[in-house]
Amino acid sequence: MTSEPKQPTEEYVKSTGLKHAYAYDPDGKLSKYFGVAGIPHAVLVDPGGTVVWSGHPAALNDAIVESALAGALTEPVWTWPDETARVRELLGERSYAAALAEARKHEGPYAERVQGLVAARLARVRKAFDSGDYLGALNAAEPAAKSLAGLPEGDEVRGILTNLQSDPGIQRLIEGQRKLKAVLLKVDKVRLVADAKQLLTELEGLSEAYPDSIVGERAKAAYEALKARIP
Amino acid sequence: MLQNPIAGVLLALSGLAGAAGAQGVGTQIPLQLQLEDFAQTEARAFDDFLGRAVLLEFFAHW
Repeated sequence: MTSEPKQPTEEYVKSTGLKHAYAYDPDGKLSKYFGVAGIPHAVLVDPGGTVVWSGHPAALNDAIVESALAGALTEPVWTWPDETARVRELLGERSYAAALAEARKHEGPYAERVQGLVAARLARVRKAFDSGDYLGALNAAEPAAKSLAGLPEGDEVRGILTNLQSDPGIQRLIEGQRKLKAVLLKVDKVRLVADAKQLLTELEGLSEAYPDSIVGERAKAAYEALKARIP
Repeated sequence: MLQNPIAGVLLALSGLAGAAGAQGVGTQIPLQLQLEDFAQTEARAFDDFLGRAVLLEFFAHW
């Protein structure tokens, strides 16, 4: 997507032979939302509408993409027949229980497809929780609990959410993940060696404060990667 | 004594930004995202990509 004017953009697309779909974000609202500071920048959105990655496209790897593809529709909704328009509308509102009920009124694979999306939402929450990525689980569970309300999968998500919000050990790790996220945002932008050294100290502190957890592991990995960048 | 001019300068540019910790990650993309004039696709709104994994790339013609 681009916030640039149409004519030069279309000339650019033609001259470069760009094949992928594109659209215009005329006021740059979306780039502001994602804090895009430079071009190119990419954002990966999973089938449930959750942003799972953001950064320089060259830094995107296969594992992240494969993870985002889990449970995705194999055919886009615009290929679905007109009579399923209400299903699409309800999916757009992220009302999965209503979308599933509506899809069941139609012949064809539509209910199965919606059910697949429901299962994928639940699987994403479970996977994050089981891997110890409690902040990821919380971020996925909060909207999923609303979207899946009225479905058995929604009950399961709510159970996980309750656990995430009430267990003191988990709460502490979520706090650690939030602190790490704040440091990593600074790491992405750091250019001066002196600032980088300060960030190394912060990462080391997190690594020691949260040993044997996803916070400690990721802080340590970020520490090593940042250290390698310092001349 | 003059300081080494290199010492305070820049980190290697090998650190391409891109992280699960980046801004917006973990959030739900806004409902009814207002994008205009879709091209090279049959989609006419971002909601048409519902249920699909989507890579949004911000680009410019220059």
